[in-house]
Amino acid sequence: MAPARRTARPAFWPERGRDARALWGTCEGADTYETWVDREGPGYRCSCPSRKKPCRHALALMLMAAETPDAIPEAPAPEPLQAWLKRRDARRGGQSQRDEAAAVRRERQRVEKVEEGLAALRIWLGDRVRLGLAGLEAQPHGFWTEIAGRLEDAQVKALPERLLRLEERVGAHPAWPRELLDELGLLALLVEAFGERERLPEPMQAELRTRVGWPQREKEVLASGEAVQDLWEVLGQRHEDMRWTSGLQATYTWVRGRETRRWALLLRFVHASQRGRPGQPALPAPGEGFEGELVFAPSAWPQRAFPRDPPEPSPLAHAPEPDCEDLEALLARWARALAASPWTERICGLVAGLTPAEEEGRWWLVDRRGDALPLRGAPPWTLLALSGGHPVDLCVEWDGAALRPLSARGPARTLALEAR
Amino acid sequence: MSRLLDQALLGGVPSAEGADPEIAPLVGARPEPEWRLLLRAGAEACHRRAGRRPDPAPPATPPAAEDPRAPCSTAAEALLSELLESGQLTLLAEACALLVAADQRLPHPLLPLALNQRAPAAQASLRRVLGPRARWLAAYNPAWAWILDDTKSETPVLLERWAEGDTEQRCEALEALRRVAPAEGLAALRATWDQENAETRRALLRALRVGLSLDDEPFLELALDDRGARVRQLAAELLRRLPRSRLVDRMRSRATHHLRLHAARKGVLGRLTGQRDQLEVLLPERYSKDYERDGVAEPGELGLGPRRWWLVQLLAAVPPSHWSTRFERSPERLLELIPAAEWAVVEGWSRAATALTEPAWLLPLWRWWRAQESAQAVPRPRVEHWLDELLRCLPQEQAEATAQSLLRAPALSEASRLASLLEGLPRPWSEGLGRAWLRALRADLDQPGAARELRWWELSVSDAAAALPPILLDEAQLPLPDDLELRRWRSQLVQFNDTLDLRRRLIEEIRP
Repeated sequence: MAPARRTARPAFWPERGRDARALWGTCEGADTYETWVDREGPGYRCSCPSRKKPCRHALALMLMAAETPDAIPEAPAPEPLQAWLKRRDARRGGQSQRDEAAAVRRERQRVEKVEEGLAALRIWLGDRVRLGLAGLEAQPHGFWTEIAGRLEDAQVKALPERLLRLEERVGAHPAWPRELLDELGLLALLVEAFGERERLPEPMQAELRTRVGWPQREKEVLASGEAVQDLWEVLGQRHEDMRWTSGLQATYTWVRGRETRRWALLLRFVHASQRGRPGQPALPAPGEGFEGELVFAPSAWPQRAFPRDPPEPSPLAHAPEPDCEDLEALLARWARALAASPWTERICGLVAGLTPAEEEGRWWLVDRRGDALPLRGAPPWTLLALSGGHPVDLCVEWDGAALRPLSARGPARTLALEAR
Repeated sequence: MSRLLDQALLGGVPSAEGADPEIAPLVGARPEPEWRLLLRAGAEACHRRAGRRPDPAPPATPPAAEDPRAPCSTAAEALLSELLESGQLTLLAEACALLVAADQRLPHPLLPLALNQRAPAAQASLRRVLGPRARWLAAYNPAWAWILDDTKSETPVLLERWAEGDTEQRCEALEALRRVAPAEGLAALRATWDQENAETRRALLRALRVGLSLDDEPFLELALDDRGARVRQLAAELLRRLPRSRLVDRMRSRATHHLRLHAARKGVLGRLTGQRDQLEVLLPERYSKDYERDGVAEPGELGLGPRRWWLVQLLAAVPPSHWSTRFERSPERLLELIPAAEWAVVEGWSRAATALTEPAWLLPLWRWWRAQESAQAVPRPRVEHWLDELLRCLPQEQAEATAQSLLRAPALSEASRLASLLEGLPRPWSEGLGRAWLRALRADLDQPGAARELRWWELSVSDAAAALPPILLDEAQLPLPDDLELRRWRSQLVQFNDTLDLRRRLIEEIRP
């Protein structure tokens, strides 16, 4: 930098000029050199023998332009410089065409790999039926990780996690064969639908790609997804450990637009080694809300969303209103979600007047009409204490088999329930 | 539908099938029968999921009764939650007392955390605060049943646990029962007494400590003839705690003959002849047969010969006031008459005074032992034991006065005694004691320090932080030492200040 700074004096530059894009000049010292700088790109050209890019003459020009802009007069660029800039533009265009071509090629390769992976899964699924599901109870963990690993290698990145969750169901519950056959059937439908994706509408194609394993990239979603502006009420948050990538934890944050009544799911994955490290923006918590735009990832049942800007949460001024009169209403929404995408895994609702109840060690939530749905997990002690056997408005997540209470609408504030 | 499931479970090549019309074209186009079965299963799963209806509700149970008290503030809730999670029991006790005074309850969401407390001290504090909601919750979780123990209406629950639990649970149930209904507890114990083995009998008998009264005497007298030696001992020990029991009567009449006062002549003549009171100790001659029944052990202990040991045991069962009445002398006067070599007598009296809590005797006895600190004739461990033990039994006023006198010139050698005395005092301390402790602490911190290893207050500083009366909380805050000498104590002093601060916030946040 020092030689450049010494050279950055108008006295050395009898000829110098600039326009919106370029800087140019002639530097007179022991020898005379001609120097061009393209500020887009950026690019440099100098008649000096230095191999450094940028050389000290180019640096000197830029220093002068930055520090004493008046020292370099605006002028139309000389002909040869303009020609050079045009050549550079042309080259750059070619480059981006080449990039695009490479991306298309990579995408085609990925699709081929994924299709191979799904073909292997198809055979594996068929084997399960031919050999009988009952035999799964005797299979070691490695049996599952083997097929999961093959899918991972084939870039079918979403299914290994799903398969390991299936493994957990085997033998866990008297009705496990039913649940397992349902899940395997849905997997078969997914494989089938992916093969036929070109005949399906665009949102469903996006859905299928996500379900199979194309990640939803925040940048892409923000650029092209459906944006919704609202005051987003945070109604539930829970954490879940991933089975396939050990140590990875997912945080599900459910928010609902105060005006639009749209539900959105904010997902964050954090690895155990990163947990509690500084530098992670805090997630808004139940009972808070934030004003802003959420952008929904394209899907047949758009649910996952990304905030346009980092949320700035503040406590909610008004308690969120229930949007499901009873459990029947929640299930009606579930049916709509499944009609849009049969692979929907979970929905959320703020259901009015639910009471926890126990029967022979199993826990239920009962609505005012006397309908009930089962609860997942450990006894809901905090909820039970809060309710005292009286109905409470609850934010619940429904996964098709059981409810998870996420927050309760208290008299004064929204209370987060068990976080797991 | 279940045919699909049966086929999938058992395996084999699925048979021909009648497909769902909606997916029939799709299924029909696939050659593999397994794949066709899976597609049909998937379609059925979609239908079944989308058509899911709610289940019927389980039978309803009555909700919790209304709690008329208002919940404490949100800020207080946060503090209480911190106390419950960190297990700071003394502060929890103070917070609970504040809640009771303000007639406020715990916010409902804190109840699981409160009911999960296992420490008896925590449970004792919380019992006064937890209300109908907590009792209602306890019905759902056996680990929370402790909250039910103090209510009369729960006697049937306790009797059930008494009848069905293992020995430990039965002891707990019996103790809980004795707390609310001593007579019922005794009746329950009597009913099964003959079927228990000796070890269980002893374990259960211990529960009678709770709510012990003369009503238990007939049963305990029977237990004195028990087959198990340790059961007999325990029964005697319990009867010794009842000053009007027949056992204490018997012991009194036995002991009476073994101490004799030779009174000095009164008046001028007495002074002239220089005659003074004398207390004669006559050791029991032999181990009489009925000694054993009343729990007097035969072989000597504490380095005493058998005869002296018998005397100790006899004296230990007699309320010391018996002697002051009989000899018409104050405890101080009587103790003056005991030379160091006869420490066995004071050992017996000390046992009696602490077991039967005779406040008039405790301090004189303590002074007697303190005077023996350098005496050769008295074993050092006995002196140490009684100096601590007697202080622990002092009534608050006397104990505070003693602590204050120790605080006038706190010595490192007495630091642990002072600490155990302070620890045992009811909280909060009186303002006088609090000021005395703070003054002594400040004086110590002001001393230009030679690098002393230990400060006398290090053993009591955490108790003081929890026990200083509210009125002193503000002025008690200590400036933190910067000089190198005191750095070592910095963290203790920071903690002291933090505890005071937490208490101040509790008092501010929990008010009517």
